Amino acid sequence: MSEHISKGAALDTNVAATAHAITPLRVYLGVFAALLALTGVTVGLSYADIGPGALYLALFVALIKAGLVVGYFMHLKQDARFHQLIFFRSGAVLVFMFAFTFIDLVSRPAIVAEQGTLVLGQEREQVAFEAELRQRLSAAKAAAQPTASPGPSAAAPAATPTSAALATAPVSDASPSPEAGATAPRPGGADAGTPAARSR
Amino acid sequence: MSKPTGDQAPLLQQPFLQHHFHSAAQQEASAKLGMWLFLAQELVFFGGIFLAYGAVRYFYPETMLSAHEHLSVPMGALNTAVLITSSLTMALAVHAAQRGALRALRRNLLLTVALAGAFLVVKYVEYAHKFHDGLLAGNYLTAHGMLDDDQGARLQQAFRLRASPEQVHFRFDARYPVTREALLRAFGAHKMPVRAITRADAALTVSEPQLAHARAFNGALDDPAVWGSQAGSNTFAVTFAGKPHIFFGLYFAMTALHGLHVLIGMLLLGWVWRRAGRGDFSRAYFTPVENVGLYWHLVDLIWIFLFPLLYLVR
Repeated sequence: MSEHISKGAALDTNVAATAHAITPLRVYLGVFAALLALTGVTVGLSYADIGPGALYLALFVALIKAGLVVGYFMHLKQDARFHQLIFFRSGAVLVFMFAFTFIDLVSRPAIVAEQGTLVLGQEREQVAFEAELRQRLSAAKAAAQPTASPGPSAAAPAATPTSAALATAPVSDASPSPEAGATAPRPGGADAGTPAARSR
Repeated sequence: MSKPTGDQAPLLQQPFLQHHFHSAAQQEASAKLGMWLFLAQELVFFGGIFLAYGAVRYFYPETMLSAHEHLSVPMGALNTAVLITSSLTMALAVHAAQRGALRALRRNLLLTVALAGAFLVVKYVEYAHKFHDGLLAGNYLTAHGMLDDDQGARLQQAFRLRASPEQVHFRFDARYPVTREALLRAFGAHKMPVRAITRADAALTVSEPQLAHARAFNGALDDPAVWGSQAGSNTFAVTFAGKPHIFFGLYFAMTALHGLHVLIGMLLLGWVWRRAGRGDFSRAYFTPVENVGLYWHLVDLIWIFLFPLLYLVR
């Protein structure tokens, strides 16, 4: 029992002693200047084309800024160990949350390939499928009339009847898609040229 | 310990000490512990929505790259600077409280509130622009602000049908000649990639299952009268590439949640400012100032991550 009390008292004095040590003004101003400078760095980096590493660099800079805010403005650096533990354990929870979610997300294409069903990456595969169809269509066209120049349908290839119907009818969607009829232009409609490709 | 803490002052000089606490130091430790637990919860709370952002970005990287072009980097950078400055004034307020400088405390609290207000004003300007352009979340994204001036002037309605939520329907003045190519150009000029455009007027004759679908939802946009009136009008169905409506959904969810925190922060700062004026605080007791300060710095902290992720995607 007495042990508990002494522990509590120790916590009291610990908190009081650490939290009330006054941070000098120049530390605040220095941290402020560093935060502004790092913001400038992030904005500058976003204009420089440095490829896929940009995201991680931006996040790294953001982490440094976060460290400055938490450490100096929020005084966590000189705060009680227990408060540090609480805060960083929350950070650890986030790390686990992100790690396990992304392990799932990243491994999904493999599962999809195995089971032959499309779950979330559907859109991408669909686009690739459409591109292939379009290519075949234009190849067939070129073979049929070798002298013809690419018409307006080549300028906007995504709007051919085949792909327009595809775009609104997901491959794995079991339910009938009511909009398919609403989007495909009817033969003889305003889209001159494209319906001919279908009738051929 | 050389500093005068609450412990050493006589009991009667500690009107702030509530009866259920053993000592002023214990009261302060409890308040701080509670605050840090709350902040830890806030981290995970915001973490969830950051995770959603990460998942969307993983699956639709092109969407993130194209849609973020509609956010203004100067505005975002300005707001970052405003928030960082407000964090400084908040830290200075706590600094003043620690030294017992009550006038400096009140002045810095007021400055912090003013900067928070400035942040919200900039945010308002940004939001107004997005609303004006129709760059909104989910089904509300029409992007009609991307049309060129002539098209915009003749646009009668931009809407989505719940039966075909992927497409935005643009209905123009029937006498005005709009071509698919002109629409493509207009959207292309504003970096709004389009996957498909079809003339919808001829095709929008309603089949029985479609009508049943529309009746099931019975939304204003699915009113069969609207469907029927499509015939002979000048209507195009546009499917945007990628998922811009999800990007703007995330944008509004993240920034509005953060904005709500700013608003709550302003109320808390005002409350502390009032208490400081009432003489509640002294060198021996200013825990509420410290805790509101912790909250305010966390709001800044979250913006530090929001800004590069939303505005500076490359």
